[in-house]
Amino acid sequence: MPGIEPSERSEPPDGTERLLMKAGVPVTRETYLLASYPGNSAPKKWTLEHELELPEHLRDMSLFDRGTYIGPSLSDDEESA
Amino acid sequence: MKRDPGVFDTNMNLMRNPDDYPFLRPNMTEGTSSDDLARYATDQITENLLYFMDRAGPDDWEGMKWYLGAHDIENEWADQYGLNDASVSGAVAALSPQADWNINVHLGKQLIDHFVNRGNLEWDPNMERVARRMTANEAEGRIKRILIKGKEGVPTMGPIIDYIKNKPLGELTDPEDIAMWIRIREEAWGDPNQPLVEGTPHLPADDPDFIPPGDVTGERGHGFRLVRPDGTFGDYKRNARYKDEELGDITDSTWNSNGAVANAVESLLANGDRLRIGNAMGNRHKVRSFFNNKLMPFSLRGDVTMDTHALEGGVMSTAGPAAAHGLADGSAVSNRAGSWGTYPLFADGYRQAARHVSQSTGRLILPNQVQSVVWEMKRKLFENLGRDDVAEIQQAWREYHDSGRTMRSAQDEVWRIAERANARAAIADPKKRPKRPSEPGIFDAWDRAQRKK
Repeated sequence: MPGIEPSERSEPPDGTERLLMKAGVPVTRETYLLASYPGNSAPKKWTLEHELELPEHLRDMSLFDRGTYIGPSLSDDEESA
Repeated sequence: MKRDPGVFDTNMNLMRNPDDYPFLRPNMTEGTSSDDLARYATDQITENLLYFMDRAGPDDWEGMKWYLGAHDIENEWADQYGLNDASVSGAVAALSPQADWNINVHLGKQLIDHFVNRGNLEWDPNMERVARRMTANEAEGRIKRILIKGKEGVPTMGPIIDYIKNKPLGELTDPEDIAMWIRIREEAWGDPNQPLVEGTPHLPADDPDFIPPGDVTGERGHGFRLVRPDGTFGDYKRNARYKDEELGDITDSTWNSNGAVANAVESLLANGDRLRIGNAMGNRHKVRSFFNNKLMPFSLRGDVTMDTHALEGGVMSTAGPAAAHGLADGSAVSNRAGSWGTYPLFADGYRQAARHVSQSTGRLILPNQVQSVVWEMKRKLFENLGRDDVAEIQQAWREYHDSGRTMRSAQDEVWRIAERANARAAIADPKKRPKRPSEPGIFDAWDRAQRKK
C-alpha cells in the first residue's frame, strides 16, 4: 500500500507521521501502525474508533460493515489454531 | 451542524433509512424537512436516555460524580507537579481514546511523572533491550499478521529507536519523540511506586551488556489501580482467579497508541496555552468534550462526551451504523461548522434529557451527568449480547417502526433481551453475574441453576 506524500494531503501530518519521517521511514498504513503500537501492543479488539484514529489516507474501511469490524479475528487463540 | 446546510441535510438523510434507524417512524422520516427530522430524532434519543435514567438505581446515580472525580484527580496532580491544570486535563484526555479509564489515569500519572522529572533520565541498557524486543516483534506482531494488507516488511521501530535514543529525555523537544522515549522507559522500568517484579532485572542474567543504571535495581510493576467515580483509588486491578488462588495476578497496563501519547505530551508542553492544547485535542468532538467535562465539570456549556456506548445508549441498540455515524464514519463532516457526523444531534438528546431529569427531580442535572450515568448502565446491560440477541433487538425496533408497537413496549423488549443475555452469561460463568440486577427476579434462571449444583 503506497504512502501519500505530505504535499498531497490537506491535513498536516500528526505526531506518528512526523516521527516516521524524521526516522527516514516511509509513511504507510503498515509503518504507521507499527510505530503507533510498538512490539505486539496493538489492541486485541480492533474497533471503528481505533480505525478512525488513523489519518484518513491510511484507513481501511473495508474492515468494517456499518461500523462493525469484520476483518480477520484478532484472537491469539484463533490465530495460533 | 445546521450552520452547514449541505452537511446537515446529508446527515439527516442517513436517518431516513429504516434499516439503520428503525427507532424513527415513517411519519418522522418520510416527507419531513431536515429540521423536523432532527427534532424528532433528538426527541427519540431523549426518550431512550430517559428510559435508562428512570431505571437508574442508587449505584448508577453515583456515576454523576464521575467528571468531578476526574477533575479532582487532575487538580491534585497539577498541584503536586506544579503544572497547569488545563495541560494536565488535556494530557489525560489525549490518552483516553479506546482506553479503560483506570488505565487512562495510571498512564497519565506515569507520563506526567516522567515528563516533569525527565531532565535526569538517559537511555539505558534496559531500555535498549526493550527497544530491541519491540523491533524483533515487528516481524510477527498482531498488526503485521492481521491489520495490514500486503505485508511490505519495511523496518520501522529500528530506525525510530536509532533516531530517539542518542539524546537524554531532557534534550528532546518534539512531543512525538518524547512520547516514544517515555513509553519505552516506562515499559523497561515500570512504575517506581510499585514493587519489584520477581526476578528483576528482567534481562537475562547472562547478558554481558546489561548494567543496571544508577540506583535503579530492577523492573517494577505495570499494574494500575481501580478509580472510583468520586476520584478516590481502590486496589490494583487483578486478572481473573485461577481455580484455587485467592487472588489473581495484578493486571498490567498497556499503552495507548503513540500518537495519543504524543498529543498528551504536547498538552503538557503547552503549559496552559489554550490554542496549543486545543490543537492537541484534535478536531473531533469526543476528546475535546472529555477535556472540557473534566476541566470544568459544572460548566453550563453542555459539553457531552460520547463514545460508542454513549451513542448506542441513545438508540438503545448495538445494531446499525448509529454509533459510526455519530463518530463521523460514513457521515458528513463540516470544517466550517466544526461538526463531525451526527454527534451534535446525540449531544442535543443528552442535553434535553438533562433538562427533563432536572425538572422532574428539582435538582440541576447536567448533560455530562446524564451521560456518565447512562454510559455505565448501557455498558453493563449490553455487554453479553450475542448475534441473535442483537437481531432480536433490531426486530423489536423494526416492529415499532412498522406496526403499532409502542416505543415503551420496544424499550421494554430491548431491556428484557439484554437482561436475558446477562442471565445466560451468568449461568455459563458465575463470575459474570452483575452485582446489581436491575429488576428482582430477572436472575431467577441463574438462581435455579445455582441451586441445582
